[in-house]
Amino acid sequence: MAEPNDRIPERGGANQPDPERARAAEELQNGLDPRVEEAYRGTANEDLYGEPDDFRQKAPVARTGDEAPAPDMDLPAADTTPDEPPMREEALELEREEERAEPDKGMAALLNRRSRQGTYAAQAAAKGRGSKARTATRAKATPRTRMVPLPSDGIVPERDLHQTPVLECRHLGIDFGGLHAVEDFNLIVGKTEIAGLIGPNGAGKTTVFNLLTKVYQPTRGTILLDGVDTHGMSTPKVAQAGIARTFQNIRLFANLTVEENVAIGLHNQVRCGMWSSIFRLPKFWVSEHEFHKQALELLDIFSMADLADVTAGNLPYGAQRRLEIIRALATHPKLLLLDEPAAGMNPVETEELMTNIRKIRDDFQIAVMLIEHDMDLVMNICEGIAVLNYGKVIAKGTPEEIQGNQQVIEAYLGSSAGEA
Amino acid sequence: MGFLENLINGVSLGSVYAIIALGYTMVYGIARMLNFAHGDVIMVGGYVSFVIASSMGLNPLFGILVAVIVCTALGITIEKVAYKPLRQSASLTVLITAIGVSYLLQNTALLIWGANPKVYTSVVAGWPQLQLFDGQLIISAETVVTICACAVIMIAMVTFIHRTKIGKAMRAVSEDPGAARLMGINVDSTISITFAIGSGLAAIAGVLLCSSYPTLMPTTGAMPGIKAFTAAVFGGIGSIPGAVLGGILLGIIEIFAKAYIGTQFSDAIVFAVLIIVLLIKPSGLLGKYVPEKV
Amino acid sequence: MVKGTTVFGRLWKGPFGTYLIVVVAYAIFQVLASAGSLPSVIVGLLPTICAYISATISLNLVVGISGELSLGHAGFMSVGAYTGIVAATCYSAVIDIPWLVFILAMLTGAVFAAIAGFVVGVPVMRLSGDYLAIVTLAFGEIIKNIMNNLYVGLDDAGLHFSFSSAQDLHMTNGNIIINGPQGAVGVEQLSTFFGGFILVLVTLAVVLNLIRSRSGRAIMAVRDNSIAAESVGINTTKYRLMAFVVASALAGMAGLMYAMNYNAVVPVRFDYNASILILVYVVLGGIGNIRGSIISATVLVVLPEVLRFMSEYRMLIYAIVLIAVMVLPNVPAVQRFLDYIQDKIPFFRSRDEVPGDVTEGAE
Repeated sequence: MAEPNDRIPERGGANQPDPERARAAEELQNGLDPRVEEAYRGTANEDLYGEPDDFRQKAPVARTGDEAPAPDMDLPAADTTPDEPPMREEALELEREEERAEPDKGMAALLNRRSRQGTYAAQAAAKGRGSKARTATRAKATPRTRMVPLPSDGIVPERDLHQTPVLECRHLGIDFGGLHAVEDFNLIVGKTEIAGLIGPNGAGKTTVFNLLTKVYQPTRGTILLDGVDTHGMSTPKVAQAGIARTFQNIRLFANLTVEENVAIGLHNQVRCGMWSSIFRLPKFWVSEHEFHKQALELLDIFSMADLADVTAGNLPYGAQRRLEIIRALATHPKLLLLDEPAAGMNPVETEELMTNIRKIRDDFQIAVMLIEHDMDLVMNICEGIAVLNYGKVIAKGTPEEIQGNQQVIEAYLGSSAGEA
Repeated sequence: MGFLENLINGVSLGSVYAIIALGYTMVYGIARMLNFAHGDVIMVGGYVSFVIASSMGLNPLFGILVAVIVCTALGITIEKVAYKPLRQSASLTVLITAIGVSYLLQNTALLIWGANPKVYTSVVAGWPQLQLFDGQLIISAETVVTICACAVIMIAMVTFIHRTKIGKAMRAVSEDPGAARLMGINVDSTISITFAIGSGLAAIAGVLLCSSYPTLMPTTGAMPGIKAFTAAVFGGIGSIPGAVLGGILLGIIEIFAKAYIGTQFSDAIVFAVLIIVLLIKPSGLLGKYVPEKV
Repeated sequence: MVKGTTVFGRLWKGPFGTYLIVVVAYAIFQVLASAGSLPSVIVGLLPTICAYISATISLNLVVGISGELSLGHAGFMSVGAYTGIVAATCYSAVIDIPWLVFILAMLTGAVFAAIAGFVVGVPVMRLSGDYLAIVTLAFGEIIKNIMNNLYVGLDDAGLHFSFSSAQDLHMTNGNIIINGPQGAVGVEQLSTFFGGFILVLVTLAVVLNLIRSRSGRAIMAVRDNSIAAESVGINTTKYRLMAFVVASALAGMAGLMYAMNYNAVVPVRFDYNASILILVYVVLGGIGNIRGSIISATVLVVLPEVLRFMSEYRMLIYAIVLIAVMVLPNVPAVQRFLDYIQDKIPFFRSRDEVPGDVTEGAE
């Protein structure tokens, strides 16, 4: 999906992906590469703003393909005065980007060197901390900001148009060693959307889930959950904030019963402290009653209430997958991530799963995002689909659009279109 | 001069720890088990060489040879009888079995040699001391021999692991036993060889330890065993240079703590350093950290 | 015998059955002891057995329920023992009722052991697996080393502490309570079999109540799959630490119960071998199996005493028994035999009250 129009215009400027951050992100990424640093040093005197050509080619700003990165949109100094609210917002975010890069000493050194030479004065000024030394620098240099266009290709279902999207990823990326496992991942998921994330094996789909749930901390980019930045949150905190997930290789608490598994999912919904438990205070009995009641209600979704006392590890495969979904739902998420929910299920079970995923969305009014190789399922229930290949989004759109997309067909060697 | 002397003593003690730690680390790297009986194999090595040299009055070097042979055989036997049936068991089961073997060795030694400490005659007794700086710094023959032995053993082990076919098999088994088996490597015999080498080294360590600290009791091996184990973890368990580095550092820390802070808290300081290192670098100095895949 | 279908069967399988075993065992031993049919060695050993049972149950909370290998449990016992003994000496000066002194000393010991557990646990919980084991071992040795050099005395001016020597306490009149490597000296022997019985019940209640609650489920969730536990919003460090600190507090009480059964206790009693011994009880009783802990601790504390007639061979036999119990079930021929027995006789079918064995989840 490569439409340039932004489909969520209601949202304020402060919330929009901004160019400065994009550039910062891009620089961070390149800061890892010593050759780039070399390039900076070498060209600092001849090109004040910026970047030698090979640098720009290495990290194109927008990967959607419809807009070329605007090379040198230099703006006058007035536009970057730190008192202007949106810019301050940007500046803060820029700083945050830098904090993230802290472990990378090379980058910090690079920033220092550049500001010493005065070539980085624009950024230093844009930081706008109000420090006098910096203000002085700004007055001397010509503070101009390079502006880059927004990748505004998000799509959401029409019914969710007037609500904050449950998930918004901007320029999300992670490196493993030198490998960009996920790069420049931009995605918007509507409040009650069923979204699909597909792609060939090894495309980085599960890595995206791991980034969203902070199993891995992103190297670059922002994740907004219901409009709130999840930067700095740990996995449990993200779960409490509203992202629940299942795992590709099932991760149940195999030695515990089905009901206990769900009760553990309810951990943050029903409260009871250690002392109340040890001394069996009234609060304990109330909470246990609540755990039991809610667990059975949740198990009823997949008609598993009669299995409540079975040890989870002894369940058949399909039931284990269903239990994992129930456990995730028990955390009362805003966004449910399903990693290959239909893997190992027979067609009847898959059919049932589809009904249930829709039912979950309708009953709980939450968004569901799923990774799946079963194209029947994906094309049937997903409203918006993103296709990932080599860590990059190569297409976004409705099932029909995806099925007709040449790039997707190539990525899958034609198999996806054939199956669907 | 005091500083230099302490340093040399520290390296000497550390060399003994390093040789013991090599056995721990190799067995851990290949069989993924903590062989708590390793320290007691040292004690057996000490007693065997004691019997040959002091009781029978034969050449001490012959005593070392016999000790190495006996301990190697002992290591292989222990592995075959006690550990091999537990290949698929939980690591705790193996750990408890190793503790059982440790009790067994200690109590067998108690029955044979009694609880009274034996005074061990150094294998290099009568060898000349090394005098430096006009006799201000005297280094005993034991110290020199221990440090040299450690260096030779480490070089030999690294060469063995990297250059020989068996060494390659060992590395393969430590990476992935299943895949190694599919490649036609005999995993069981590789593990046996590892135990044999580790136990042989333990015998040498026992002789060197008793030469420097000549009190031999059934529990002689226990504390050096634990120290060497912490040395192996300190250096990054599974890594051969790590074991040597960890052992020598531990020895130096222990001697310095004794000399400059006080004898009574030296153990506490050694373990405190270990804890601090592990908290800063959870996989030890030279260990690799492998995160769980999600 | 008992099937899970009857009302009694259900109760038997749950915590009730465990409490019942303890009460019945206490009654039997008490009757035998008062009838004089028990050897005096065993009678003197009864509080010690109770102390080991408590220590084993509390270590099982760490090893079995929380899934962490701890090799320093005896260290926390020694913290509880020594702080408890010092507290008891102080309380005796003002309170005349021995059992009240004992209870207060128990609570003091538990609090200090819990503090030690917290101090050790906060850094330790960053590690896992064998590294955690070695660090707990190291902490146990550090605690022992400190206790070996601790001198505490009490006179009219109050408590005196020193880390160098008894002379350094600078007391003119008064008692030395803890005397360095000689440990606690002149301990009032307040431990009784009844007190031990109550301690076992308290330990059981704390551990079983904790396991069967929101916190306990979280602890077991972290053990079974820490990544999944985090994904449902459980703070893994908090719950691992909770199990560790609760276990330390209980170990402290067990340590005091043990120490107050003798009139002198040396710090070496609580060295790494003691930690290993308790771990052996846990593993032999079944990892995560609380009832098994009680039985194995009792049998294995009594066994060396029963074997005493074999004098120097007894520890050898003990070692061989230990190896055999661990290795034999894994020998194929023995396995077939055990399967056969379990098949034929329902009594031997496993019925853990708590899901035990930390096995890998289904693929």
